[in-house]
Amino acid sequence: MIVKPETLLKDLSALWIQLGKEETEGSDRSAGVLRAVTMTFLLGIDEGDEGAGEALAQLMHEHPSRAIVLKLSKDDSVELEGRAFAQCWMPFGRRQQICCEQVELSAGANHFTDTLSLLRGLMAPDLPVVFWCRSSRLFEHPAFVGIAAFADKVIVDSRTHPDPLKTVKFLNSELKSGHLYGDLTWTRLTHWRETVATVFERMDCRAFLGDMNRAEVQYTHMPEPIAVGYLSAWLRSTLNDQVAVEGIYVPADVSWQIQKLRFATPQSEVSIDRTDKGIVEAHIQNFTTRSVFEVLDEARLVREELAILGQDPIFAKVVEFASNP
Amino acid sequence: MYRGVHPAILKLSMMQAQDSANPFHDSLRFEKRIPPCSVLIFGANGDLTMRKLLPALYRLAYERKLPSGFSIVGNSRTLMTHEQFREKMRVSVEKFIENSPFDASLWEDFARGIFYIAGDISDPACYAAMKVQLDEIEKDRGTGGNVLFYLSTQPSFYASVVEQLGAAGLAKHEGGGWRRVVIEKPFGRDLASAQELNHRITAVFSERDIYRIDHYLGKETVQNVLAFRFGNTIFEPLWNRRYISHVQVTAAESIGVEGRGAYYQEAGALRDMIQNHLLQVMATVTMEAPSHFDSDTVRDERAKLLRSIRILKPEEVDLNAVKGQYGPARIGNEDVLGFRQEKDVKPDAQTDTFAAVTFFVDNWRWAGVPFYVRTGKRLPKRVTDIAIRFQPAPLSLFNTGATVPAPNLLILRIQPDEGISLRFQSKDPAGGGMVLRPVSMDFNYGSSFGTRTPSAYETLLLDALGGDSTLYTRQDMVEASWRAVEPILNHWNNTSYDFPNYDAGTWGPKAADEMLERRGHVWRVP
Repeated sequence: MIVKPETLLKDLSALWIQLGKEETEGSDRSAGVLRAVTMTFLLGIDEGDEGAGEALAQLMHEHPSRAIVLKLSKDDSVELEGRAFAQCWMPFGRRQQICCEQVELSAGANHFTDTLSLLRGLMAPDLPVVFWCRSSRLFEHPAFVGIAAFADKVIVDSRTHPDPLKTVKFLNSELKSGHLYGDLTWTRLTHWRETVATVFERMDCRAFLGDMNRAEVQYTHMPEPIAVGYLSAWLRSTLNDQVAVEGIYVPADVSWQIQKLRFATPQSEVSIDRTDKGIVEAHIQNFTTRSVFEVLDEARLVREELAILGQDPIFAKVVEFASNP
Repeated sequence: MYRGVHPAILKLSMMQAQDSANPFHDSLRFEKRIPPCSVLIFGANGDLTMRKLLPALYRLAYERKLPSGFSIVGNSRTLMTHEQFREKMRVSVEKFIENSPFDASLWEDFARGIFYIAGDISDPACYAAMKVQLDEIEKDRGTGGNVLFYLSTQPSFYASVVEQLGAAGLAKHEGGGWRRVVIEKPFGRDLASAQELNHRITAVFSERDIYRIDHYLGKETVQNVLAFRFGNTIFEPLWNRRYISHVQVTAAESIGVEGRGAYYQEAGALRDMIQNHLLQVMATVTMEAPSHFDSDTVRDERAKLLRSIRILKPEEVDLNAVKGQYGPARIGNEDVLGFRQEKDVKPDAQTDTFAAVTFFVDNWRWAGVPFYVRTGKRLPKRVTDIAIRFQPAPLSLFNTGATVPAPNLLILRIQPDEGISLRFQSKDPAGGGMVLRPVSMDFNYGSSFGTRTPSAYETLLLDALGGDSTLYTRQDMVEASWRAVEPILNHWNNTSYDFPNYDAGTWGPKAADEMLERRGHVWRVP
């Protein structure tokens, strides 16, 4: 079957008319349908990616968008297919249903480049385009570059890729060319980085900073996670060259990768330890303080990236350092 | 091992270190930087502390917005140990925290930074004990001597507490830490008392260290008025007397005085809402664009606008201001009391539970445009919004006969259902011919930004701790708004009214409708 953008857009229009009609004919408490679009959100996934739908639903609540799901089928020979539908919800205590439109395009690897010409006609006009590529297969596919070219920002997750360092090097070259990229592996580190910044906001730690000669990133699993490379790169790019930054493997049967950050002078140390999934403890000489590390699902991480639709100079600098370990 | 650093980065890092800036900060992703500090709350056993302040501070800690070593010292007359106070605060945080989980492990750490000093705020010994406690906190928790004093006491104690802070040497820190004071409205009962209060407070703290809190300005949607006006280009050219017919500001409450009869009887709607909250909102809607978005520049523009409000002459008050008080009524299947029947209210009270005022702003932009501001208790619903009614089309081309096309209306909804609506004319497809019908284009905050909105107290506390006073009122603004309402207060105080003059559950006295009718306008129903 031939898939045309105008057919999909017509289906979407029909959906809106139908939804409006259902609401009007429904209960007398109904106050209509609110059609909300703040961007075009391209989501690249593999067929069978169970988590994608839930993440997308969460994101739609917070960033109503025209979502275009680009599904890479398991069978390489599957031809292009497309369908349009709407995702609706009624916020608690409100009388108005909010709906977002979704288009799903699926194809096998042999036909995936067919999606490119369709995409051009399916973008919501005059709004930003963000591409979240959850599929490492799609990241390697020749169509990736073409899809990324439509987007104002591309979000990947390098730790899910077979060769994360290669991805970081790719990000470095793209960022240097002026393209906007985000990496959820970096986004996951915001809590750690913010805790470090908070600790060094104290005057006693500022003094400590001047004498610091060593920083360690202790991690629990081998091979060394790319997150360790990112954190080390951040510390290297932030501290002067008197400070040796080292990643240290400390095996532990825990679900997280980074266990501890340790900063040392010849006389004393400051450390930030992960105590369980939700809490870290900062030890500053005899003083201890705790912070919450909320569980970060992917939707939360993507939300942080969606808040930055311009250049992120700190990320760009870290990517540059991390791609040259 | 990783070693080495790019020379340019090294230079930047060294510069940052020399400036004693925090090199780890990432302003794009992290929240505002708050230096290590303490908050000392006077009136810590009161409702505001338990319902608003502690839940807001805990929530800020939960979101890692507070600095390491952050501490709270509570004060009230009730005898309690640190541990008993912590337990009391834990119970209230668990009860009143909104949209957040309560994390016991975080609370354990947060509570280690909570302390309590029992004592009478008129007793110098109480302040000596506070000084000892704050010095200990500075030493043990690394707060650098930075302290925010939060006066959550009765307003009559504001000046004496501040003077005691000064006398005890608590208003300044020898090591260079900052000392700030937050006071809650009302800032005086009239212009003279506001000036007297200010005189006594500024003898101890400088104006830049005084934070006069008006929680309306902390509301996200009030702040969004500035974003809407000055972040977009399409409305600002129309934002003047040429295109705007009039503006209506409504702050309606469906509840009565809810046990605060004694306080409300002395305050009244004009003092309690219009003099502070609603004039600040009106100033936000009408001020000129600031040259920068910083505290002084924004407040300069607000103050300038407030100074431009026309002061009514005594003989103009009755035509431009309406005083109301609700009487008993049956709302739904509930019989509700009239104001005079409420607990602690005198049976012949002359208090205004409803106030409506027509203000004029005498400047080039707004000359001649009426600003109708109304507020009241026991009105049909809880709603706060600003309605900007544009001039009608100069010529009615389409609708013939009796129907007059409704003029464009822009509504900025502050609460609930925060958002913006624009009403405009559209052709009615069912009408046959060119029949127009008003339709509404809605922006709904909740559906476009599903993220949690911080409470006004979270926003304002964070600002005060970070030294940002943009959303706080300044003394010149306080005085300008007292000047605007004082002729009305004086006239009302010298006149006896036949109350009640509106039934609970209605939109106020008939005189309020007549006030608009005289200019050919009507109140919209929010």
